[in-house]
Amino acid sequence: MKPYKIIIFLFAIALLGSCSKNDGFTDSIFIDTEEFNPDSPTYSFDLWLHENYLKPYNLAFKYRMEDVGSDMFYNLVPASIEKSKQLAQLTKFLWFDVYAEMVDEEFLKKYGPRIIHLIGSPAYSPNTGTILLGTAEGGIKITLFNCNNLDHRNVNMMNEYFFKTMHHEFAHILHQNKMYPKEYEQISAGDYSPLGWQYLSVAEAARLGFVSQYSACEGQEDFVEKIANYLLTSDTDWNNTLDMAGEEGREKIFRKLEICSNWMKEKWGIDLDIMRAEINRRQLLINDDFFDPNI
Amino acid sequence: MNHRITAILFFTSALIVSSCTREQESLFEQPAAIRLNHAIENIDSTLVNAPNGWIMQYFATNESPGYSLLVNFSSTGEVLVAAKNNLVRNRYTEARSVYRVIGDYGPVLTFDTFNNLLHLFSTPENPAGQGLGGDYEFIINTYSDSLIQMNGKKRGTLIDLERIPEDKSWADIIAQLESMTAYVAGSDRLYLVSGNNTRIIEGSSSFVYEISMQGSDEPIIMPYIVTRDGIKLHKPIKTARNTEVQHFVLSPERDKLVASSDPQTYITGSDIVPFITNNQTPYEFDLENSSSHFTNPAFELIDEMHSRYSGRRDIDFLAITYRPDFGHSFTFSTKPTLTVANFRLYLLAHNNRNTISIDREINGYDQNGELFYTNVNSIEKFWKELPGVYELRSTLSKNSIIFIDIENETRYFKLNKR
Repeated sequence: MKPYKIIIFLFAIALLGSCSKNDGFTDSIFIDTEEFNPDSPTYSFDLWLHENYLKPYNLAFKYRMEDVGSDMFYNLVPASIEKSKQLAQLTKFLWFDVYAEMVDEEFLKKYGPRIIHLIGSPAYSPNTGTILLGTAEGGIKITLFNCNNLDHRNVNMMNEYFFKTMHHEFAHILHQNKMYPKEYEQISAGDYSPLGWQYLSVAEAARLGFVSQYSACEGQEDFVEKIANYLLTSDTDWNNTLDMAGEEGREKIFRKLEICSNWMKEKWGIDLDIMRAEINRRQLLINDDFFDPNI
Repeated sequence: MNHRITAILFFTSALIVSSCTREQESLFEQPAAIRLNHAIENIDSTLVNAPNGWIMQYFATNESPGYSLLVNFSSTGEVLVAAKNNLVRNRYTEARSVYRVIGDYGPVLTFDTFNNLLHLFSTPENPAGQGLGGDYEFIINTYSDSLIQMNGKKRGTLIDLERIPEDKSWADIIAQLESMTAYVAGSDRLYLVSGNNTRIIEGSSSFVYEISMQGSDEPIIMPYIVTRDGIKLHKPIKTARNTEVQHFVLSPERDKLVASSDPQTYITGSDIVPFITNNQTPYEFDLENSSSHFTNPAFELIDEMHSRYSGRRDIDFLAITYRPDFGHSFTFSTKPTLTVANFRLYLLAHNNRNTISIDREINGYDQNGELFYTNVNSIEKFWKELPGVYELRSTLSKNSIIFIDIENETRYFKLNKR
């Protein structure tokens, strides 16, 4: 190396070092708000969430509302602590533990969301008059609305407002990792209506081969609605939908369900029928004594 | 080559010198994040170091009535909220939840789990999606040991926290507020007097004043909240005297609210005599606050009705009422069998400003009145006691009116708006 190159090199080193002398980083300037306070009224619940969600699944179960984490477009209120405790236990029992049993514990560790955010009120859209039940953002975060109206004695209500949402959003996460066959969307091509689905009645949607009104929004929503509804709709309600669908609609529903079942089996090793039976079995165990009073 | 190297080193040195020595003078001693953290800690300890908590003067929107919520913050992160208002059917109600002071748009007080009282104002129901339109997160603008001033984070509504004195229990505070509400909030039209200028105020009973402005068709909509010593408008208003007024204190006579920042500006009501002679709202006799001249025959009437009708037509209330087809009357209503009987009275304004004459028409009763009158002797005893000349005294709200005999001030009765 020539002398002037050595000089320039040393100079460059000095240049890099000269501006960092005053930085002197110490501890973080931000207060650590995640430490558990044994005197806190939520201490036992926070600890339970840590042991049952954060440690095993690296999942932050956020029951304290963070409006930066919600949509400021909507007028929302937080979830109550009581309902949050119930929903946390129900979610574990009816969703996480089901997948752990059906596949293995690693499955949700790998594909499960990293954040579940509870919101107390429904999210009313002033433009469409519809209610948002839940959102999923990039497979990372699931937001559940209307938690303050959770009624554990009403399985249909729980399924409609919470567990269908969870399975719906989780199915999105799964197909974002492994895409479903394109032929699925060909079955109802032309019947999807992103802006007009809410004007369909349940019966009209069924006749078009959709198991819910929202299924008619677009192909991806149709796909995940099919899975969520099949897993959580009672036999009676499922058969009602098939009756309403008529021959043509029923045929479309069966064709689409078959694609869903094959995809779940082949891509994820999950038998939809067995999972449906397992969820149904667990739902029958939910009663007033289900919840741990010490949380 | 050596010249080029020298030139490069020279310019580079110049750059280093300029880049590292030109530090701008900071207005603040510490970085913003550290200042924010200090503010959060200080606010948190200020909230907690009020053993009796705070009165939250809550306005959901700039056009909504003010509500007093009592809040007590614990160092454990728990908050206790209490209220007694029409949203909880006027029953004293408490609700616990948690709170945090966070760094957001500056220091923000957030009630981030549902509280049955506080979140009543922001729950998006009735109408769906909107509700009462209130906030539950508050940007803290200023704070001291006695007062914290905040803005709703989403709506920007001004909300204050006033420290509750340590010698006052929450029951004392609620009682004070209820008593003050009875004095100042009523259905009567009010007047905002400022020097020689007078403006009409409507809406006292809804806690949202509509203040008519001279030369303007549109009134100012100004909610108010009842405080322990009077009322506070949601925002200051400018008077005809070019002063700013917001806080009004009830006068010792309880007949006007005087602006604390400008004693020549006050809120007063209409004269009591034209009010009562034109009034069509029933006013019930307050037998706990009337002289024995009236209470003795009243209790005799109550007892006789009970024994005469074996509990089937007990007196529910005694009142002075007005019906367009009958005029003023002494009225009673019975329970459990509902019957209303009327006995005619004449209310006449006297020459003196606060004086009224009451007279009666003998045998001037309605059909029910006649039936009861012939069966119950003590009706006559009570009815004939009422005529006289009385001086009237009332509070600003005119929820209560006292009739004092001008010839015998120990002879008086009190009526409360029913």
